[in-house]
Amino acid sequence: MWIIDAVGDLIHLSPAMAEWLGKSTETDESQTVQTVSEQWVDALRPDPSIRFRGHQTRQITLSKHLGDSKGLGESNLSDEALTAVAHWISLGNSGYTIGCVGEFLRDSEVPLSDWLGEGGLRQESLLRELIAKHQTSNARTADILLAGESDAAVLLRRRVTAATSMRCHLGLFTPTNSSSRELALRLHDTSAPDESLTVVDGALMDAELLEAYAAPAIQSINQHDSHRSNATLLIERLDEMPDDAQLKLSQWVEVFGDHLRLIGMLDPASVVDNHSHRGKPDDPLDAQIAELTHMPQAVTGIAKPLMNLMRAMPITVPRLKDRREDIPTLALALLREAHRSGQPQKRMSDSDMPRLGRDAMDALTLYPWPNDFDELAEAMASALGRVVGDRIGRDHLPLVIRSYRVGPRTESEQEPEKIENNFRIESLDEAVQKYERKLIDQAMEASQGNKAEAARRLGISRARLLRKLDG
Amino acid sequence: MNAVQTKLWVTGPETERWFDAARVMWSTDFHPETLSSLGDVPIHKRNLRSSQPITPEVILWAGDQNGIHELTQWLHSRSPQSDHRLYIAAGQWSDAERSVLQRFGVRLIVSELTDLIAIEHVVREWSLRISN
Repeated sequence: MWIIDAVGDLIHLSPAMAEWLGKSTETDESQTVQTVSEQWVDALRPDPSIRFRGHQTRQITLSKHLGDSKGLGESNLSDEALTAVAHWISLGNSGYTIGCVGEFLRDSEVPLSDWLGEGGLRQESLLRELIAKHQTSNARTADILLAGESDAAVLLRRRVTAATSMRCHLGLFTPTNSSSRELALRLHDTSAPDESLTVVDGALMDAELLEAYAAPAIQSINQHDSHRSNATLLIERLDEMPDDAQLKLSQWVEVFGDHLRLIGMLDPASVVDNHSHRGKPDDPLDAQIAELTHMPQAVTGIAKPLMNLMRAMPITVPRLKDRREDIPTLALALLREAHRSGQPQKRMSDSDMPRLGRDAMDALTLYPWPNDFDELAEAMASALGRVVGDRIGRDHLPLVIRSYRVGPRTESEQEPEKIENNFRIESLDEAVQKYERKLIDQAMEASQGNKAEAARRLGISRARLLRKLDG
Repeated sequence: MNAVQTKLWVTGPETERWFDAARVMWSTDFHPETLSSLGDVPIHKRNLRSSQPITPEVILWAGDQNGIHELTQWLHSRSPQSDHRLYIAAGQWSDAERSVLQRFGVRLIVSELTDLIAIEHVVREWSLRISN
């Protein structure tokens, strides 16, 4: 076993390793390390790529001739080479790397009890790989969510770019669903990748449970000075969090300041629409959010200090129906993603991906998307599973989407229809007589009592007008 | 109570112990069923044509000292999470493991059998909210 430091120097060689290399073990350790030639040290260094994975395994070959070039240790010069499989593990962020050679067993051949540490090294390595995959997948979904050229998409992208460039409290004004969760995780991973993350569902927490779930984060912040670290608390459905839990959260924010970073997810439908002034339906969401600051907690359901934090960097995720021009771009990106992550046997290159027909695209653009982005993603995955051939048409879309029809009348035309539906008069003859009388009166008034002139204005003969006036 | 409609599936290496605990400690409105593995959990498919109310589904994964990899791997390979499913992980997990479980969608974590009592009202309220 040997240790390489941050600058690549060999700083320790175990007695067994020294013996294997043919170095004297009688001298002290530092002297033994110094006798190892630069060529051998070079062979004992891991590849630079170890910093990505944390560990590495490969074969090393140490030429005896080169290793003994300093003339120390074994005196027999020969071309014999030492070959072995070496394994390196980097020790966290310390810069040190442990290397070892020996007989290696397959993971499955090692009993679990022999693994080191809680959960074992193997488990930890597998988890790290899984988290890395998860982060990549989050990033892909978030990128698709931000795509498009609508004003709403551009604003969303700008906000997300700003939010990822610094560590600050974030308010995501969006319903808590699969895509908004992934965006929130992406924001955390990019803005504070090394910070511990605790995710809680606000609707499930009372003060007691919140305290238990956030305990690791609070403990890490609560350390003294140099040991104090930052932590992020991601709270889904903050608007549904009970008051006592919100109070607890407000107290923590007051005590720990920015050491505790909050990422809150609030459904604008429940926070804004139900409580803002009904007379201003066209107000931008940002303006509605600003209004919330002036409203009491009893109205918004969110404690004032928390609402202020959420407004520090508000990110409003627009609904699909408010960015229809982006739907074709999003649909294609989601189709590509579904195609890419399909079953291995179905996985093919992008050129094999079916294209979206114009009829399908029209149907997607018209549909109101009550379940928003997640529903579009599901529809694309479903269409991909159903399509035969290279073109996805309207018929391959889920029934609810392909059968959706826009009503024959727009909303503004519905009012007259309502009136017609309620139409009822007592007597048609009586109503006609009244209307006729009204027109005759108007004509008489306009002609200042001249009956001949009034008859002309009404388009009838003077005799007929006289009969009507007599009747 | 609407909780009677809630599906409660118990699975994982320690299923037996946690299944018995859930049956004893949780109200009779919950009818736990055991599944031999996570692979037996029904695949969620949204039925857009159906106007039936949503059935809340609770999945209690009872792990052991072998770690959380089985659950996290399964959650990672699933389609996006559904709001009508609540994942509970049961076991003695480290802080780091709890954080990873939360990241992958687990929202409640219990370490002792008696912890089930503390979260019963939370699960019940969640179930009522989902079914309404």
